[in-house]
Amino acid sequence: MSYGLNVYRSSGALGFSSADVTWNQVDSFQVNGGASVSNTYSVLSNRTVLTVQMMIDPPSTSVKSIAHTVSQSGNTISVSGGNQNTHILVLMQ
Amino acid sequence: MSYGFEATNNNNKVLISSETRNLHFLGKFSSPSVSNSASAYGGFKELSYTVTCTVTPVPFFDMPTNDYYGIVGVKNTTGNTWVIKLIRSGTGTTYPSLYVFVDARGVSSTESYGMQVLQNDGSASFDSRKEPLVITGGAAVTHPSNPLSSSITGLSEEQCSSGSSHSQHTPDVESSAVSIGSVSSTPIFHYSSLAQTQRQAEFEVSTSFCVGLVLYNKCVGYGDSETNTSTYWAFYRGGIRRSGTNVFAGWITVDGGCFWSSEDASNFFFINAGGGSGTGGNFPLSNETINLASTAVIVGDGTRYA
Repeated sequence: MSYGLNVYRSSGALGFSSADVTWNQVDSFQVNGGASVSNTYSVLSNRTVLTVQMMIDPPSTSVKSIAHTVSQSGNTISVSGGNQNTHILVLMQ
Repeated sequence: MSYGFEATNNNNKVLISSETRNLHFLGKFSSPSVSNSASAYGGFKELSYTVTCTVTPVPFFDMPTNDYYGIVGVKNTTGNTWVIKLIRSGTGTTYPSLYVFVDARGVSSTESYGMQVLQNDGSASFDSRKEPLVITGGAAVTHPSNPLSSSITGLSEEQCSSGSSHSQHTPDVESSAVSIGSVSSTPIFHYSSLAQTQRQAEFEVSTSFCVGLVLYNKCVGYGDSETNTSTYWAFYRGGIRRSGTNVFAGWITVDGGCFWSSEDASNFFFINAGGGSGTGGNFPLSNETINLASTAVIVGDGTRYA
């Protein structure tokens, strides 16, 4: 590379580089079924944001397992409307 | 940011920030236990991976076959023990490896040099010794609203006697191809299976006979009428499969069954002489599809994390 940053492992292998791409975790939190959460993160300003929802228990085959609706407005992430307990990851790059 | 450390790549995307936490490689898990399975309509297996970590794990998986895969559960069962559940379509015995990433607080390293970035509480935001997550691509997928391309026809009305050996509930619809960019020889995927759908088909037949006379559409003598109804159903969850540099969002059959009823009405010279009904099976939804919102697929390079 002609410019940028390379960080090597002790083995000499390249560990991380400014030519790489990643998602950084801003927050990880749990939202239970029937609950709603709204969090604001100033670090999201002018950044690409991705939210990921992971159910804690596999959806039941005997009841309707409704996922939460996750939305972004500015720097605020809102989660609501589900009847299942879930993990929410807020990622940015 | 007014202070701290931030590194961006040449697309101005953040690589490292002292205000966030990079994900780092905790380990590769390749020997799941089969915690649930079924064989009807293509079948499925639910695989459980046990992981020990102090913070919430973010699982990725490889796809060793052309089947559909998805993560359905990430649960802290006790202490630092987590059970991550993944489903795959089909009844094959080739199982994916799980690649688990966590923030730097959850990974230890014995290497003595490298680069660390700390948050203002002194905890690690980034640690080059702990194999930070690098992604190679991603996509957003949306599942088709109906897993079946054809209507279900011709099944028996009587006490679910067509069983589940027919293939009419086998899912055969998937999304169009979604590009994930160039991939390594072992791409790994983070994808949560949230979408669910159910499809059912009802078949009914009525029969009647009269020993005696039929007057004004009424039986004078001994009469009997019977109505048989069978409702065949299957329940599906979302999954993705890979072909080359594309992924497709489709459906994995996780349950199937049949509900039936039989109503028998007899009379003798207009006196009710008995009847009967019965049920079998159950179903959770009725021709519905839920959780169809677009779902993220994050793609990494599994060869970096052997």
